[in-house]
Amino acid sequence: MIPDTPHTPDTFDVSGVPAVLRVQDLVVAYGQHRAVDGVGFRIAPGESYAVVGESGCGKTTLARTVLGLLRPAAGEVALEGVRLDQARGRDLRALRQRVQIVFQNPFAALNPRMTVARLVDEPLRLAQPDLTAAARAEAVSALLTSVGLADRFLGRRPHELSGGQCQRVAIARALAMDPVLLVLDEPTSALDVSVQAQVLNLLADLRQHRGLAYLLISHDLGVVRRLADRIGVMRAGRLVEEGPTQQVLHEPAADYTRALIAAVPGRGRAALMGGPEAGDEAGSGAAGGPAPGDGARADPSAKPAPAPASGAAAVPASELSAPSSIGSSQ
Amino acid sequence: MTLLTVEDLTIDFPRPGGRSGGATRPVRGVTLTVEPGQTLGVVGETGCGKTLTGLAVLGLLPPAAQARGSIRLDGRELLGAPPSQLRAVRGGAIAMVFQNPATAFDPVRPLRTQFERVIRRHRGGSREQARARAAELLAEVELHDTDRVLGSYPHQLSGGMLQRAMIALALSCEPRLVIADEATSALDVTVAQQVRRLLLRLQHAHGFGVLFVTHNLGEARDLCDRVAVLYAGEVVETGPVEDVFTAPAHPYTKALLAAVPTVDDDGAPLASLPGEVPADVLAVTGCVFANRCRQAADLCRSTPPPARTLPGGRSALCHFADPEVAA
Ligand SMILES: Nc1ncnc2c1ncn2[C@@H]1O[C@H](COP(=O)(O)OP(=O)(O)OP(=O)(O)O)[C@@H](O)[C@H]1O
Ligand SMILES: Nc1ncnc2c1ncn2[C@@H]1O[C@H](COP(=O)(O)OP(=O)(O)O)[C@@H](O)[C@H]1O
Ligand code: SF4
Ligand SMILES: [Mg+2]
Ligand SMILES: [Mg+2]
Repeated sequence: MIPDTPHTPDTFDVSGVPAVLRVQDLVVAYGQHRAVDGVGFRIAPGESYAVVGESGCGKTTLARTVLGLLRPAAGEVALEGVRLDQARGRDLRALRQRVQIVFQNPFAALNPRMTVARLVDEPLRLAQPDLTAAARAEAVSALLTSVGLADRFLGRRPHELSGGQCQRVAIARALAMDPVLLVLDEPTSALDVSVQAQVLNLLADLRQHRGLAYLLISHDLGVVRRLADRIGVMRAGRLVEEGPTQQVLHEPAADYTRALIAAVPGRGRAALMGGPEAGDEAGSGAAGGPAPGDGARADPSAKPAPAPASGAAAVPASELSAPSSIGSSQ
Repeated sequence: MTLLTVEDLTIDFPRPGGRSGGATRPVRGVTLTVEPGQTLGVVGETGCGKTLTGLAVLGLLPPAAQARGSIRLDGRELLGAPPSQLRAVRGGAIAMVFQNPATAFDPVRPLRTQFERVIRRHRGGSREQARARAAELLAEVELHDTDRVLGSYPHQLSGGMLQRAMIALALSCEPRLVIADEATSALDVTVAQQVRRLLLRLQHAHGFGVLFVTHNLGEARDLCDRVAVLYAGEVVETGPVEDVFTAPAHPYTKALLAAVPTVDDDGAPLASLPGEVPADVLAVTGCVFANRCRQAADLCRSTPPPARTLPGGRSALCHFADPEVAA
């Protein structure tokens, strides 16, 4: 159930349906460094929203904040109209069940000693403590069926599964919590092309049949094209462009978006050499202009990135982590 | 004359090791050629034998591996050559560029030390001359603030800068063949694109051949002249890259290309490839792909397919190979 925290009025769209996720003026900082710096967007029920951008731009920080694992320095995160950033204790735990995450590396996300049956049973127990053992066994089997795994997988352990099968188990675990929002953090980038296709088709199906909303994080625009209704393009902690997938991909407004699209390989050698320079500034970097990519750590005199500062504003709130959340210990 | 010829290369691991169920013969009868100044792409999914093939050419297979067949550079046999000769080849005619550039550099020394060592080993000369040469090489890979870069430790550079530096180090021995293994896979998309362009420019300027190992089919299409598609340790298809990509002849190539999500596709479900590589490929009597192949016939299950030569410098390991314009 949704905890008893007041709704904020502007979480509703015109039809009166609250957004599944509303993020507004969000700032998340590690010490002085604002990894997310004034981000806002909404995800409607059943909608799939992709955040694209390069490494270090703040995607994972954003995801962890949406999961209630990091406290924002400023701004709001509301789930189904309820302020996640203000929730505490039991309310927070209940809210956090509504958002589940599927990580990039399916092996790391699964306890190697557990069987598939136990891996799926574990979150189910937390989500529905009143179910009988028989009812749970039935539910486990149904969940596995919904991700395309037959009962013969029940007794297997992660090392006896392929990457795609592991990712299916991770998805089944997430579904066991009956979330409204699934955060997919590079869900297929560790998978082979043919396995990726299976998982992408599964994710498209699940959304259709369960009305799940997705927050997809990816650097692969082909994957985004498949799974997302809308795209937010993130750069250095900010959204530089947002819009419907087709529009952003075919009529990008921001230079940075254009550079990302131009960098997608596969159009042949002529296109590779003929396309717009994707902000080539390999030299000493920091050439001033907003060129993507290589400038990130281009100053050789720069010190290595600071270690997670203790007392940083973004509290990696371990006391907030319910064991229910898949991989929250990551 | 052909620059690199790999002929009927087979790699065995007599004592099973590695991942569970790992093949004991992960490379089986691989034949490839690289012409001077040309790029051959080696593509395929995890575990198909791409890296081992590249390592065999470099003479860097793990000690447990046993390789047979023939690997010739400019007609000279490398397989079974003494280690000292292979070392000389690696620091001379063949250079390598790998996925993780950080591992190519000593983490506790500035880049300068390493460049000096490699350059002086290759062409002798004073330390000053080596420094000047290092600066030239860095300029060639478009790293401009050469003094600062050379004074940096690996961790002070971004992944893209480090990969450029590794390419510069590779160039320092004036190679005739560069072996690149997932050279852009750890980089951000725009940086990866810059590195691909750099590789092409350098190849035009220097005329080296490239054996380009990648799991990224789009990248192979952009960079390669020819491509070899590996499946379960065998080359299942080879030919000019545009021909293979626009009209694949082998059912596996067809399935692989159909599984790639693209920015411009229509959103119809991706054709996925059910099933897996057989756990023990040596136990398979017919075609190793038969358990996943939509076109499999009785013949396929009983008899291994021959490598069929097709028009246009192509070949495919399939009883029914048939170049077909991709949908
Ligand atoms: N614990 C931390 N302490 C200090 N800085 C951090 C910490 N975690 C992340 N950062 C910094 O915050 C920024 C955003 O990091 P984040 O991991 O969220 O980016 P990302 O886009 O998901 O990157 P990637 O794709 O590489 O995972 C980066 O500049 C990163 O260096
Ligand atoms: N040291 C090893 N011992 C046993 N098997 C190995 C070893 N290294 C690789 N293999 C096996 O060889 C196959 C091909 O490996 P590799 O060439 O690394 O594949 P990739 O195409 O992913 O680069 C895999 O099945 C792998 O498990
Ligand atoms: S030989 Fe038969 S099973 Fe093998 S790829 Fe060709 S058609 Fe498919
Ligand atoms: Mg991340
Ligand atoms: Mg490899």
